[in-house]
Formats: sequence, C-alpha cells, structure tokens
Amino acid sequence: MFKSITAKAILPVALAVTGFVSVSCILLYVAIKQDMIQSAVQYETNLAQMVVKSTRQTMLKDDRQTLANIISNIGQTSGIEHVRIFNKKGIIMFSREGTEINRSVDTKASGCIECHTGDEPAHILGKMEQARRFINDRGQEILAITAPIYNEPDCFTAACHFHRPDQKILGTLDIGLDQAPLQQGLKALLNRMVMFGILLLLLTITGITALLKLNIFDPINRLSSYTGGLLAGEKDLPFPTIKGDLRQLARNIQQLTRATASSRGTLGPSSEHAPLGSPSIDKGEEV
Amino acid sequence: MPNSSPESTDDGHREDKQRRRLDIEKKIQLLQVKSLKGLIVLIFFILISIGAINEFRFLPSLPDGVRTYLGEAPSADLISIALLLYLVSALILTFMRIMTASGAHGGFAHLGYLVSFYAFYHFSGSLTDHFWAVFVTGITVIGLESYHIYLYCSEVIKEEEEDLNSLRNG
Repeated sequence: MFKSITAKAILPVALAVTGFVSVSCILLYVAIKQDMIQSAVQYETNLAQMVVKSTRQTMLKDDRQTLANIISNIGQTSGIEHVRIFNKKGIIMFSREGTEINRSVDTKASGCIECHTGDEPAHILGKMEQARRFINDRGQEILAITAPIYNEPDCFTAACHFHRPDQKILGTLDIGLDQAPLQQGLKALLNRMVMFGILLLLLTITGITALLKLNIFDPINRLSSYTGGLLAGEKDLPFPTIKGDLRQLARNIQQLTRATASSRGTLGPSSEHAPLGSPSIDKGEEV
Repeated sequence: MPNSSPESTDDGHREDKQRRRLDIEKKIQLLQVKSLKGLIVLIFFILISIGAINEFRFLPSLPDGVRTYLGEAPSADLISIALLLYLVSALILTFMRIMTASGAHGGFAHLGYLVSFYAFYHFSGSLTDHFWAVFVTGITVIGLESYHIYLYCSEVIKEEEEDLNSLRNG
C-alpha cells in the first residue's frame, strides 16, 4: 500500500502540508491567546486604577460607609468575581462579601507572594506580575489584579487623618474578573482554525490527487494495461487515448508496437485502420 | 606461460559468485536494519515527548549557578520563529533527498534539534502552550524521513534481491 506510485506521490506531500498547516495554526493560536490575555490584563489593570481613583476622595475623607457601598456596588457588576481592599497589614477592610471583612490573607498565597518574596514587600510590579490566574471554588477561571494604593502627599497631609510620609503603600485593591468570555472567544477561535486547517488540507490533497491522477496515474495505468495485454498475446487491443505530457511516451510505445508487429507480420485488424503517422497523432489530439 | 585448467576457472568463478551472493545478502540485512532506523528515532521522540508533556518533572531541576551562567531564556516568540524555520528547512531537505533518491537521512540529528526546542520552551516557561507545536513538527519531520528511508531501502532491497536471484539462477 505504501509502496504504490499513488502513495509515493501523495503521502509525502500530504504529510508535509498537514504538518506545516498544523504547526502554523498551533503557533498562531498560542500567539493570539497570549495577546488576548495581555489585553485582558491591561483592561483589568485600568479597571483597578479606575476603582482606586474613584474611591480616593472617600479614603481622604475617611468615609468608610460610602467606600463600602462603592465596593459592594462594583462587586455586584456582572463578570466581577471579587473586589477587596486590604490594609497594609494584609487584612481585608472592604469587600463585596461581608464574611471576608477583617480576615487576613496568607502572604504566601498566589497574588500576594509576588510582592512578599523578600524581607520587605516590593513596591512596584509590572502589569503581568500584578495579574494572577486561578480556578475558583465554582470551577470558573479567574483573572485577578492586585493594584497598590500608594501614599500620596494629600494622604499624609489630610486634616481628617494622616499616614507617615515614609510609608509607601497604604493598602491594595484586589479585583478578579471571570474569564468565561475570554475562554469562549479562544474556543471559537480554535474551532475556526481547526475547520480552516481541515478545509485547507482537504483542498490541497484533493487537488494534488486529482491532478496527479489525470496527468500521471491514469495514462500510466492505461499504457501498462495495454503493454501487459500485448505481452499476454492479445492482438486486437485498441490503443489507449493519452493526453498531456505522456503523449510522446504513448506515441513511442505505439510505434514500437507497430514496428514489432509488422516485422513479425502479425499486425492486428485494429492497427490496420490506424497506420503510422495517422492524422489523430499528428494533430496531437489523441494517441 | 602456464594455462589455467577449465576446472580451476570454474572453481574461481563459483567462488566469485559465492562471495557476491554473500555480499548481497549482507547488504540486504544492513538495508533492512536501516529501514527501521526512522521508526527507532520516532519511538525515542515519542518517549521524550511524554517527558516534555509532564514538564520534565522526573529530571532534577537545574542548579541556580548553571541557570545564572546560561542567562535569560529567549522569548517564546523567537523560539517559535526558529521552530517554523526549522520545520520548513527540514521538509525542503527531505524532499531534496526524495528527489535525488539519496539514502542519507537526519535521524538522530533531528531528535537533537527537537529536544533543544523542548528545552528552550521549558526554560522560557512556555512549554505547556507550545508542546503540541514541537510534537507535530517532530512527527512531521521524522515521519517523512522514515517514510523516505523505508521506500529507499525497499527499492534497493528489491534490486539486490533481483541480483541475488539472477546469481542463483545463472
């Protein structure tokens, strides 16, 4: 099966095209996935900054009730899995979930350890370091951002309360978004790429097979059957119709057959009707 | 000048034929082994891939000193470009070998390149995402090479067997 001329002509091409298209699609999918995740991180970082800036005035006024309401309302928004504000000791001061308030978190947990690796917590993190991805208790994939709330001059000079000027971070905002829409988008992209790949492969392999069959395999098979029949002693075989690049080969075989037959004086009746140099050969329409 | 007798000429001829027959049989055996070489490389590659899909957890982690000495891993995008270039070059090379009916093949060299790609992706921290790209590349390149070597060896074995038969009959 693997040694036939058809397999030899089609299998390597099919394998090479399949491999190349598959690898290209996988690399393209991974690159698009990374870009989409980076966009989601960028969007969420901006969202976290927006929340920090929106709640700034309430923090300056130490209006805890309004701040709690803002955090609760943001948390009710569709797609937001959690939103919390930690103080500098890592205790949750405001959260959508009332049960979380006044509870501390483990600094070794994902999302905390990025800053708390050394003796002193890091003050500045890149956007990708601020992000963490995890699966929550309900099995949803969550992308969370931890945004620091920095100490600014009007924080430590405010009339209501003040922080020490050397204190760099006053707390952190932690906001997590459900990644279901992103995952759905990636799944749709993957399905489309698989469909595109399969259609491309079908088209390529069908095209190559059809062209090879028309131009190479069928003429060779016809010539092979004809010469095989002659060798088996059949005299009245009609010469096969050959078109395309193999016409010259067919013409040579026909002339050799006639030369051999006439030298033996055994020219068949069908050949008598188609002598050498017949118009059909000269016009190149049919052999 | 002494003339060699017909009997000694016949013996020499018989010995020559016997030697040629043995040579051909040995060559056929070597070709049969060579035709399986592609399959052996493929099996090695699949075994290494099983390790790669598990992020090489069975191997001890690289000491910090060696990691520092090696420096930062290249970005996954650069490795992907190199992988695509490697795939195209390897396919062109194999098609050239098919075209020229050459018995040469990459074999274990391809295995080395593919393991390097696994290693680079592993150290850049993106092997999970790129595993299937390297795996499909390996299956394509090694598969095509194996098929080429199998066909090449089958053809040569067929020719050698025809020679052997003519020696036996003649």
